[in-house]
Amino acid sequence: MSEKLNQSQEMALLMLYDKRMGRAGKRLGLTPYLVDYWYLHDAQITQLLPFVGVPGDYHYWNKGKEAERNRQGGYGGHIYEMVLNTNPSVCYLSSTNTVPMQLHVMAHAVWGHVDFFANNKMFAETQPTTVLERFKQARNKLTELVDNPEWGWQNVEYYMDAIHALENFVPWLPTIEGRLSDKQLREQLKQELVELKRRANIEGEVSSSMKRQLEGGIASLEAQLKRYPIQPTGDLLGFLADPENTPDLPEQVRMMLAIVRDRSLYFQPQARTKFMNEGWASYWQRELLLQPEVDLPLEYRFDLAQSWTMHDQQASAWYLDPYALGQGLWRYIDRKYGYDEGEVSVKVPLLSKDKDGNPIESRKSKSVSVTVRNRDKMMEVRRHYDDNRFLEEFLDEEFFEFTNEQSLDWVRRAIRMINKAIVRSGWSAQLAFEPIPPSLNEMMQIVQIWMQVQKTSLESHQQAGTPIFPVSEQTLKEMGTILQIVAAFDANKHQIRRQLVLRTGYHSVPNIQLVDTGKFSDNSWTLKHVVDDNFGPLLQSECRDTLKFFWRLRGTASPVRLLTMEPKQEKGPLEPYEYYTEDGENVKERFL
Amino acid sequence: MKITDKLGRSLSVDVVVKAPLIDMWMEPLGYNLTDSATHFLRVPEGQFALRVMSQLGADLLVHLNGKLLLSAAVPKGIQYLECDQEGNPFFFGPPDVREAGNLNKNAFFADGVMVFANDGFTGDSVDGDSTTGDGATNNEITGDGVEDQTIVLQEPLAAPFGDGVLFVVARFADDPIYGECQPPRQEITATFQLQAPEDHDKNLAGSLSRLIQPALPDEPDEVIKVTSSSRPKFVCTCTGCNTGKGHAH
Repeated sequence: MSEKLNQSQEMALLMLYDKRMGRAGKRLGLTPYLVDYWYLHDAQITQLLPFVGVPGDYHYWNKGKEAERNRQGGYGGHIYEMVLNTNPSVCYLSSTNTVPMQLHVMAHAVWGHVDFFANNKMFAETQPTTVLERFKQARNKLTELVDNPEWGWQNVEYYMDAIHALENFVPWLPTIEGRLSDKQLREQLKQELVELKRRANIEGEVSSSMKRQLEGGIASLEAQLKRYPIQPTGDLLGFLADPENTPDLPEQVRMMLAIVRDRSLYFQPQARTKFMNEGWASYWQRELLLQPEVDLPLEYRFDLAQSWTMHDQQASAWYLDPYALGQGLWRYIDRKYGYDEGEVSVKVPLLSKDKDGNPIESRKSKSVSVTVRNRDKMMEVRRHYDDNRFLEEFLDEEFFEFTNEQSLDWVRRAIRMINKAIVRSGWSAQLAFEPIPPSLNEMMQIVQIWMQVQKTSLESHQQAGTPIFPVSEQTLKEMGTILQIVAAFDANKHQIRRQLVLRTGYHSVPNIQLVDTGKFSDNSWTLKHVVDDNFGPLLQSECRDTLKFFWRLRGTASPVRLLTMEPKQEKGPLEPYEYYTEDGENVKERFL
Repeated sequence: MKITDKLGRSLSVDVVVKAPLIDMWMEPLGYNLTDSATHFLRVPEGQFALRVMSQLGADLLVHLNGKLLLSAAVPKGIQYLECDQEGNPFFFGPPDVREAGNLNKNAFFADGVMVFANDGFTGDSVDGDSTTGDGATNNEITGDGVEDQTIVLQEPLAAPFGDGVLFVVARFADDPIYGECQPPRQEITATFQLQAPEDHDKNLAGSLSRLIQPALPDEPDEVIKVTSSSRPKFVCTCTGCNTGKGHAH
């Protein structure tokens, strides 16, 4: 397959390998949706980036801003692929990829990501069969509204800006079955109240302490019944979209709320399973392509070896990068829970060409024996976990010890290479440290000495043309970072674990709930921020803006408050704090 | 760390400590966080120095724990400032360690370093790339109605206070190239948080979610290719990573 192929032959080859990957994937228990491959130019793919690849997504100024930012930042590198959580799935392949890279992205995207979308329960409610149509309809509706002379861009933006500011405040998936609605809960509590009052009348006459207890219960229930909603809700967009809660809100705004809410719910699982999903795809991009059914030629394997390790460029990525950390965890699960259970013989058709030179599978085949690996635990985790649970459970001491040993091994190899380069380049032998000391502190000292020499040699070179130390500052910083992370792990294992869990994206969304609309009291709406010690207090500017945006979306001019906690002094304890607005413009603040 | 003014002139100011392994200075390891401009350094308790590297001379103010220790003019080249203006070596650590330790009484000012006796810069200063305040201008109307603009002396910048907080203010010395028309004397600052090794390790453990990962090597012809510079950068966009979801608050 090393001769140059024309485009149609290349497509035929890719589809042939797609079929082969399908055979291997089926045997391994992978079950992605069917896939539509779209073969696009780089420019077409980059145009889709702000829409997260979904064609037909609605246009908005913030996407233009993101597009410009992407353009200025060089898009973070070449976009090799995109794939959508749809059924059938849409997988974009870049026209500038080589054949080995196309195979890599097909394995990564389809047998990694699409399989994950199809099997992880977080995605069960995203309705992948209708999402493309839903997004198109949403775009059409918004376009109609913008073109409507009674609305226009300004009014649409007035509401959409506010809705986007609150776009993360949607229900937490998956939906809990059998949960009582607010109405049902209110009825239930009313009945409980009646029962408590009856008991207070009867049993209260027998015992005064019982009477007090029952009266306390009655007071608590009455207070609860005065609140609306009965249960605090974090689904702010859903609450605002419900006409029962915002009867004076224009229908068009309700429509905008529903559109953004639907979009947020669609993307929420992707944000909450980033580490798992990227790790899964990074795991299978190699494992699948090495299966005998795929039968990759040797020259492809050399190219692919480079792609397979692209997220290992820095050893610190094994702790901090979703791809590398995710893949590391999946391999750990495989090592710990997987086992070999015999062998199976696989028939692999040999490749040939038809009369037009297109690659085809011939009738001749070979039999290859392959070890069957039990990956039941991996499949179970794939189905039931999200990032939080994935990291909480598997980012354990054993995993860390293994990763620390790997990264220290990387540092030792780097030290060996640098020692050789120092001697070879004619630097003082004093700067080459042989043998490599075993302790962490001594390795740190070596790196620190080299950092000093590197920087001063660069300065001397600029000023007087003297030789530069043969290692870059970034490499030494990378070594220093690894050594510090290992030392930090030794200092506080629990804390470092906690911090890595916190790096998963969705947990940095603040927990803000609507606790009361004042429907049965003073008509003022109350939002409450539940402080998370890991993140500390909210940014004050964001509190004021959030409050102003929320005020806009209720269709009523009643006041809104946000209750949170702020320190009175820098680094002091947190105390109750209130942000309050009556007009949606001026925000008053005070400690409570 | 390297600090650069608006004209692109740069100077490097770093903390260095003595290496036990061989007799020379070494640069302590450190990290940066996403929500802070401070450089957190792992510094053993004891003496330290400031390494100043510049192709031009520079004027420096050095504060430790909120107290001004040194006000000096540093010539161009690579200079090591080892002691304050009273000749006491720069020291990090609790007082009992200082008293018990053998301080290098031979700590000296590098050649060409001039120490100022006053408390701060008395020249004009404007807002540079850092946390300095604005230079204020007083407009006084004189008897014949002409405005007399005088530059109000910059109040000394309040140095951040805290145990082990090293705060350096620097500005470039006059460059003969410019003759009489010298560029504005912008002040630029750097804050280092010196932490004893145990504290540093614990603090890093508690801040890992905000750690800034080191950049990839960008010199393709470096002798040590510890990482390959020709690997493709893979951008996978299928999981909504461009939506910006999950921002820290």
